[in-house]
Amino acid sequence: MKFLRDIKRNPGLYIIMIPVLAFFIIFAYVPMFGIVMAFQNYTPKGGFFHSEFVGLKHFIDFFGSVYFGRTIGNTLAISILNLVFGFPIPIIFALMLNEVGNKYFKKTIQTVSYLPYFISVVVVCGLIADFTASDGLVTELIVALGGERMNYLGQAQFFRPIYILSDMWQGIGFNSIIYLAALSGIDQELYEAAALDGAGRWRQTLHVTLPGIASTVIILLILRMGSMFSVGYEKIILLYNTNTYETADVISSYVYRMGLQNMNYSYSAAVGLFNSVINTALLVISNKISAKFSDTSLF
Amino acid sequence: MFLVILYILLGIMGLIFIVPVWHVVMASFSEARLLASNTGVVLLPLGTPSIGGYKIVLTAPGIISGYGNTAFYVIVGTVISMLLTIMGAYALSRKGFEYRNVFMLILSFTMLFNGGMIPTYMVVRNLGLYNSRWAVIIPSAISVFNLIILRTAFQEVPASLEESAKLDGANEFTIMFRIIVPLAKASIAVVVLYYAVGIWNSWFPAMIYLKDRDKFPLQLILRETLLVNDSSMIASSADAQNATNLDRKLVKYCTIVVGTLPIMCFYPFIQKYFTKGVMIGAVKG
Amino acid sequence: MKAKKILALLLVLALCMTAFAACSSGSGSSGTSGSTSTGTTTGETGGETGGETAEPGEAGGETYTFPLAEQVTFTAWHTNPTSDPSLGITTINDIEAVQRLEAKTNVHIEWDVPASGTETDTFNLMITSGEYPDLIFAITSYYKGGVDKAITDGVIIPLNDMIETYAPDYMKLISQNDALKRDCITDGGNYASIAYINTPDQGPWYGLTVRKDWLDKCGLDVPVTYDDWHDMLVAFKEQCGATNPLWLNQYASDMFNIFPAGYGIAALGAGSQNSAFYNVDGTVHYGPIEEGYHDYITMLNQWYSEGLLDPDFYTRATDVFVPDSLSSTGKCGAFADIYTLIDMRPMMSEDTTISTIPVAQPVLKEGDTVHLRQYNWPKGTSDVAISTQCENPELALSWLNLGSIEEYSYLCYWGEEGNEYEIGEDGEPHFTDKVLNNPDINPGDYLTKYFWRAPGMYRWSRELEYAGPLAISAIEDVWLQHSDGAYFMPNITLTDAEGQEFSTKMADILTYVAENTTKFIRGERSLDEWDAFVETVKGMGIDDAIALEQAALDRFNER
Repeated sequence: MKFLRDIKRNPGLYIIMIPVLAFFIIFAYVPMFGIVMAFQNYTPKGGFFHSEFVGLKHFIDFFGSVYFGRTIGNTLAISILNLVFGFPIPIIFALMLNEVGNKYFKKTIQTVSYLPYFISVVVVCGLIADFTASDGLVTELIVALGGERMNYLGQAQFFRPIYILSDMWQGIGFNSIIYLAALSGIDQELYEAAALDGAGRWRQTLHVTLPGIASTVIILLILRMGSMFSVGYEKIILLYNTNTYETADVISSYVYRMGLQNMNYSYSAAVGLFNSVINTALLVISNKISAKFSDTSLF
Repeated sequence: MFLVILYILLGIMGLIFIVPVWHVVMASFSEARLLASNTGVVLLPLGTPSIGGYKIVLTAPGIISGYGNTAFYVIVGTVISMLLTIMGAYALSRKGFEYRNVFMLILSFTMLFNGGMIPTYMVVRNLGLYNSRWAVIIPSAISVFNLIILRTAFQEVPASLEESAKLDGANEFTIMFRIIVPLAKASIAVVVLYYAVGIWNSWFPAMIYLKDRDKFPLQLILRETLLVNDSSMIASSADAQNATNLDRKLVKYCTIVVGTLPIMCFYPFIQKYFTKGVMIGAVKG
Repeated sequence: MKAKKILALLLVLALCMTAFAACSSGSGSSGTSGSTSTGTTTGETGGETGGETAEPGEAGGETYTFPLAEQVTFTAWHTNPTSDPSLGITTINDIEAVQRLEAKTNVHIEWDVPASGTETDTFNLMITSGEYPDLIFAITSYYKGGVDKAITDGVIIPLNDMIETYAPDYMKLISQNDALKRDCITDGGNYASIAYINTPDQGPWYGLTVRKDWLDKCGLDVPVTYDDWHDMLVAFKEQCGATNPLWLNQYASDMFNIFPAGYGIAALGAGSQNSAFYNVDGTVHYGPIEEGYHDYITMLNQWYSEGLLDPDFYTRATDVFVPDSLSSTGKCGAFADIYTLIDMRPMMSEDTTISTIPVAQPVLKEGDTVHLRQYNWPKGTSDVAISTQCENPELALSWLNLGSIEEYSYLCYWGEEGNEYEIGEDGEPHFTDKVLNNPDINPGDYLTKYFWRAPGMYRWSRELEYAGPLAISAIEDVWLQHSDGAYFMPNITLTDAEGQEFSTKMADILTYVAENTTKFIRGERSLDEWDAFVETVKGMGIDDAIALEQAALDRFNER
């Protein structure tokens, strides 16, 4: 048995893994048993063992619903926009900060940039609604720049930009922390060596800095791909309104309205399971691609 | 030229970050009556600067005990989370650990699939953790995302250090805490911050697992005061009057400050470790 | 090779999982039976005081005499009485009236009070866990599928056999009239809970108001018809500079469909799934597919294009009430309001010239009657049930009966005689200056902080003690004018299966109707497409939903 041999060879590592594995078995895998409710008409009285079994009924209901296509489309649109704009900006921000020589300026900007992250979503959404109302701060700014005066949050075509921009506002500083930490780990001698070779600022960035943070970037990117289909409902339901459903309603907010609000456990479990399956597929695919083109992969 | 543009860009970004926060802080020192009907951005307190809102928020019962509870959850929770995460990340970062990828798969899988709220709730209840402070800390102790961050950092530590320590007869625990952890200080500081902020802002586990109000964390108590005009709660004229209180908006802003300021102050201490981590890395080469 | 190993490992893991799952579910069932003893210490002490006399005693009709000789403790789930932190109430036992009640009865309650806004989640989890407290307040509001289902699910006990014996005063209270009594029995013929009974009947506490100072400035009379409203709003916009002349909520209505009612329909109201259903002589209708709704939307579309409607109405997601940024500024001239706030409006703004008056609901032509408005049924929405895990339900019921006895009801709702209230010459209680003119606390907050709303006689009318003259004219006169309430829907109950079907259908329908209402009003969808809209709503199953409501209404009428 190869497995036993590995245990014999690394006894310390296995001992270290025991509490970690126990945690995941108890709090992640045991509750997974609850996925069966997606195939039942789950009732608290019947529990997992005596609730009526309905097979794929809830999945069929979801696929047949008029909201199936729309919620999937919106989920994808928001994720892709978030990936295209939200993912690189913290990296660029970290690189920019890294170039700043003035210690106090750097520290001030960095300190200021993480502030929004600490504000809870509820509050941030309240501020967004305030600022984009027809007399709000952002609207005044747009009008001053020659734009139209209206309630921007109420326009279907502006929902996604507002969602993405506010996400970026909240996340840039905090998400850049991890890149800054990676940047700080790059060996200074490499820069000196590159400078001796006559490499300028750009080439140093290209040949020293970027390779130095590449593995961090790739891992975060893979994880991001895996959560492509999970746009959280909390912020969506705080921001959307009847006029913006068509661009704002995502799978999770639909599940929330249909499931959690109406306490239809099984239906929401089914849609959630569908969501998980797609997430897994995406994660596996992106991990494969990454393993092929770079030597970094999750597993 | 490059630097000028850089500084201007960063300066503008800085303003974008700070103005809304400034608005909240200034609004919290305004007069309730003026604030209620105000719509624009508040750059200076409206009317005579006052701390009336803070008096209401800070004398409310539960806020002080909420602070104490949150401090407990953040400190104990972060320590437990860090211990478990470092252990997992360490083991899974060792090249000699043949099945590390299998275990990684088992862990990563939980990021995508979960049993949902009800089954998890039943497990916690059956473990006897219901209405216990540990229920807030333990079921969410390890974040796979953070574990992956640490694993990546641990992998970057040169293998030669570990091998020479092994030759000196060091066991895994010694290697982990004496060699690997100090060298990955910067990443560890980041993860500490992630956990601490996460626990500070969390209220959901407390909501479903705790019954006694004297165990409630600050956020759960503050959340109550942030809830305004929820139609589902209004069943009678008395409820309706409750929901329309002139001080509400002011109290809301003060609540935001009270609930956010302490964790913001926590950041500079962590930031210090970032620079320390940088120095060690530079010296060792 | 490698794949095989992984497979093997996963199999082992799966086995572990099932083993764990079996373990945990096994311990679950034994856990529930073992832990029923937690919290309650009733049993013997209750029996000691009154268990032997099975017949109701003469004095007050109780088989238990309060105060009890030995203290008894019950556990109770109750929603948070106030989320206002400035009042200083952490638990219900901090409330003075509750302490007085405990002193008078020797019954102690351990309250389980979830944080405000988390009630639905915590309630559902409590039911799922299978461990219930002795008393469950607000069960009708939170138990999905209705209280009859709560009985068949084994969560609460039916009170049918005990109620005459142990709650005679409550029975007397609900027997005042047949309609009320019918309301207190479930479809299944059960007495499932002790309700809060509004005594006396309450007038509408929510209605329309307009800016009095602007009416005077423009030389206008109080508007009666929708056309009058139109002219008034135009004047507000042009002469008074109103930018958002008429406030409506995000569903182009108001919380109780006060404004649209003149069209003979219910609109989306507060946006709950059943707020657009109404009852015409025993037949259920759904407002948004009726011709009246078409006309109403057409009018709003016209008003919107003229700038008479709040241009941001559809984004005001969290505003059930008019936001202060509209009402306390010169932006809005007409909005729905709570009656007690009308007198306070001048004090709520920097501009103290702002004053509003209550106005009757608009009608299409003078002399019309409106059939819908805010209305409180004599049986309040809240109630309290006794769970199956209560060890001494008879004593619990006797305690719940107390709220229907004047002495105890006064204690909870009015405080101490001579201190907080006096009995006036009319034989009714009246608050003293300690409540009405207290320099430290306003009367509304005093009531919340010191008094408790006990189940039984709900004396809402104490609010009138400190209501201003406009408030009283609103609730007793203006908001009742030409309004007969003929279309009110009673408190019907859907069965669990019905409820699931209803809410699945209505979630989609509500989304669609709300979305398109906004589009019609804003002119993004032409009103020519009205028929297509109705067809779509029908295609989504509105007729089935109506049929479900109809069946429930029929059951109600047959009780």
